[in-house]
Amino acid sequence: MTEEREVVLGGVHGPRRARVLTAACVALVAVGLLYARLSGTPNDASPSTTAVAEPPSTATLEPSSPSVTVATTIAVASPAPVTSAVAPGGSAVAGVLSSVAMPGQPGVLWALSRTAGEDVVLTRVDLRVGSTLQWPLASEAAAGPLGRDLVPFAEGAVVVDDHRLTWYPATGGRPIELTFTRPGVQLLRVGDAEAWLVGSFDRVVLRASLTGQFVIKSAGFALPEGFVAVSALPDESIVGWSLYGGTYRVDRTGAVSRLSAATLTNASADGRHGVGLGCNASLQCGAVRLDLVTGTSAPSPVTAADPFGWGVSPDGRWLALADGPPSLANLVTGEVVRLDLANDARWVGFSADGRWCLVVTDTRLRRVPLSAPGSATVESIDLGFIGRIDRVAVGPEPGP
Amino acid sequence: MSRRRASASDGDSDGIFLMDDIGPGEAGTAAPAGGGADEGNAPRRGLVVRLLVAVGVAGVLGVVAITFAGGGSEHVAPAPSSSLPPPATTFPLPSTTAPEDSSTAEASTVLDQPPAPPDVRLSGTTSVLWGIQESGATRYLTLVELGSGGSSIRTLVAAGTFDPQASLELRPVFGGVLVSSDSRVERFYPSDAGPAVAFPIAGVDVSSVFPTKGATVWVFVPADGNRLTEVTPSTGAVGRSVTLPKHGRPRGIDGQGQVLLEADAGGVYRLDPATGRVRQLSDGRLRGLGPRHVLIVRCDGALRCGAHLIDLVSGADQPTAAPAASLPDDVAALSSDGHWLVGTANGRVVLLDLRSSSAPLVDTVLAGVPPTWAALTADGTYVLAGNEDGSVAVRSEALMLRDGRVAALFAPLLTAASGPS
Repeated sequence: MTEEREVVLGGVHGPRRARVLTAACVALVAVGLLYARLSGTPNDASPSTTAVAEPPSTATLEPSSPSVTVATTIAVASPAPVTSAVAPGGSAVAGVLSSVAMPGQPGVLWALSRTAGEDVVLTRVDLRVGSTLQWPLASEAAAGPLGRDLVPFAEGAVVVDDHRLTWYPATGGRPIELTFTRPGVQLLRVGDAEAWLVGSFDRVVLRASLTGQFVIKSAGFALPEGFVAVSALPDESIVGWSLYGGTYRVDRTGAVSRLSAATLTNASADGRHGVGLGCNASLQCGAVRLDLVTGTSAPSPVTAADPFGWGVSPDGRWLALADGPPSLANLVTGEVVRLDLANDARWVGFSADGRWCLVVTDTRLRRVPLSAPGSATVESIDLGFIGRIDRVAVGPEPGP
Repeated sequence: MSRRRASASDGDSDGIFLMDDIGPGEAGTAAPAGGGADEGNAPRRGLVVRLLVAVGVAGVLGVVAITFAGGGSEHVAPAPSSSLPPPATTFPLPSTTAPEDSSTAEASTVLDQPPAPPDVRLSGTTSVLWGIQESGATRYLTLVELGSGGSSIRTLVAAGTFDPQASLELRPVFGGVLVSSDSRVERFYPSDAGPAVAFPIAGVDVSSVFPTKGATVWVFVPADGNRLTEVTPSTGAVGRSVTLPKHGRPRGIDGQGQVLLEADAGGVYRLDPATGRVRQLSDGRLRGLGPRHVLIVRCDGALRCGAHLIDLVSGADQPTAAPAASLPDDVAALSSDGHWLVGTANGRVVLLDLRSSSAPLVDTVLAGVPPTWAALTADGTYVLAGNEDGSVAVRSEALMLRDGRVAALFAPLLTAASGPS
């Protein structure tokens, strides 16, 4: 079987280029093998049906200046050896726990946690049916501090380490690990299966496809100096803020435009809505609602809290506040609702369908309806089987 | 009689200066020796000292001649190679008008306290440098006074004053220096060697102390309701306070005594402490501060960013040739005429000519060790730069840079040190 995948490697020369290309080939072979293994099944990947994950394959890529980008299309012929298999590894364990089902399809929850034995575990919980999948990663000592990002996609999730991305397919299949030669890689989700990869070292943007495999190619542009990316819009442009103030958008050609003089502080998961901090000439500052698609903005009447939080709801109305006990600020009315929950929130966010505010503490997930956040009964499920939760993300659901 | 060792390098070699048998108050001049320990007996020591002093004078003059014969060409200090500390020592400086002429260098040495110190952490903003010197487990506060004809080093604080384990930082202020131990400003030490004065506000980091042109400093205490409080370090008196806007962070005091604030969301503002009134100066970020000017980086709608020089007296706002990406880290020092910007970036000294050049004129590493600070002399003629290594300096040099070149290496002040006997 022959698979053809496009891989773009930028700015590598001579022997180093050869090494990188070789590594990329190896990665693609691994991708091909994985694809072959999963061929025909990526969309019916019910986590409860997969029991064993294989050790991840590895590759090293080095994004660099777009001016020296070299595009290479590599035909992957199976089989080929994988140079090394490294931790995190181990077998994924699947199961169905009815106690963790939350009727109403609030999404799929991914969590990084630590067990009583200080092992690090990645867990995927399909909250529709309670099916779970766990990857034992490594001991905390081996894995280092969990200063990681967790980015969910429809068919898996990426754990972003300092200079390493690891793709965990929702099928429980073999993780794929990409290691960058320099630290500081940021992943911005574009829809359910695509992402921008931004290297903080050279600002070059790469495009990643995550559909059961991990394919990377050049985006052909770089982010401007002083621009801090926050999220990607449905039109695939990147929104963020400038170190010198203001909210900006960078489209997929690299063109930059200012959206607002207010500085973006939080955005919704789909990038459409945001909230920023704006100040007048007397340094009186307040929250500003930002429509990041149209570039319009309006002062928010929220005065009881600063516009810094966990995130903005998909409809742009609510900001989950990060300071103090779990609270929601209504960016339209100015009302701040304190959720009568424990103060030890590890994460506050919103369900993918925008109906719920989700609060995760050490061991529990609570769900508050946004239709009546101050008065409704809070539903709760016990996530104690995961361990002590460190990072949580709620992502899109896989296909039907 | 005290015994101590001194070491210095001459800028061209790893030569070692040995000083012996000089008591408190005695003048001393470093003399080169081939190295070795201070193990001689007393009669021999006197002869050795005289010989070494003579050789030292010749050596210093030789250093001056060698240094300035190069016409100010770039000169990088070698790494200190000895653990022998120098006592109060004179280092020749060039005249501000004729740096190539070493004949004007004068030897003026002041020695108040034994023993003399090598290992230096220098900090300074004008033509006076303060340093923490280390000899074994003992630390000394040292004042380096620069002059057109020469400079001197005085040890102001005797042994045992500073915790040898603490992380010390210095903030030169009017009439002396504030010393911070483990990120807390503790005392003011006057430059006339008078008694130290306890700092009246507890738990303040030196980065939260903003000197004015006068005898007072403003102290930022975020936990105290985002307040700035005026303090006179030399007396310990606490004066008026002003509450800052919630999203404003103090970045410095300008030449008119107004507090420069930066908003969390971007934007530079001036606060009049007398009235509490805040007015926006510009959008963007503050990147340079001088007696009369500020340097602001701001961006257009396409995020093209540039550095603008604003004259705080006339209000003139002019773009400069300096690209934003080449600016030093944090808020750098502007010369009084707004011509030069000096600071450090990525472990290098950066000196920018804001009028005519977009390229850094000075970008150097001192003796292989990245500099950690750079400052202008009070007259704006020279740049001083040095390096340090955390709480315990392992090497430090001060350079004088003129017109973008190293004009003179005047003080290889730092070596590892053996303690006084």
